[in-house]
Amino acid sequence: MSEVRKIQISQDMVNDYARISGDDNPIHQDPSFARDEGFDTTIVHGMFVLSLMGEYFSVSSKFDTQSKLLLNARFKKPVYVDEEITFFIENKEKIIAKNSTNEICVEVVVSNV
Amino acid sequence: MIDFTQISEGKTVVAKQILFSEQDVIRFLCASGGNVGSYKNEENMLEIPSILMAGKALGTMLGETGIPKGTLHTTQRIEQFLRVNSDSNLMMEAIVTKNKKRAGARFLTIEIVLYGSNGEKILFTSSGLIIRSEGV
Repeated sequence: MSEVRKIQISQDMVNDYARISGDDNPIHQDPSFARDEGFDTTIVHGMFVLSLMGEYFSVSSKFDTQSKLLLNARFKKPVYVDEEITFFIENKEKIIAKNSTNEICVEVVVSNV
Repeated sequence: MIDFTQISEGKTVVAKQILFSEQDVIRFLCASGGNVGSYKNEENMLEIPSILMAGKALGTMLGETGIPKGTLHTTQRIEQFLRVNSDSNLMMEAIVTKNKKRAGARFLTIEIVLYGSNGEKILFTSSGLIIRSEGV
């Protein structure tokens, strides 16, 4: 398993993604709402974490138009805004993100079938 | 706003067109650190990244259904069948395929298909969601 990137996702980055995707759930943007929901602070959209991992599976750019892309993601733990997370390539099809306490937050399996 | 306590499995909850503009693609790639050049095709047209298609479709579905704030996203499956250039209008259909209440929470699976202008299937995506409290 090789570490490929460490990243901290800021609130501004999350707010940008909310505008682009239309997903304006306050759990991602309003710290007091997120705390009321039982989280430490706002959490990053799972789809945004997935998009940041995208360069490691090059979703659109590397897949052949004759084949079919298949991606399965599991959002196992919240990724908090400003928390440092690390991406690892586990094998050629599987990429994971771990949080600062070494727990797997996001697990992605990608294939061309 | 849709009351998910009243929605049966197999029900279509959203059917509408979504525009994926070139500006959307550029903003998405800037936000995610993607390389614009990687998404230019041989005709120098900018293609829509599959995660953007799935993410905007999911965001549209969440907004259109008025799903309760605080809903959690647990799984995502994406299957892309065809590439599409930006500045395309795609037809989106979202169907609830699982709707179960367990231990006070509602577990949903919502499948979304994006179709091109000739009805061709472009992308399938399925989201696992948990509504933790329905306020009842």
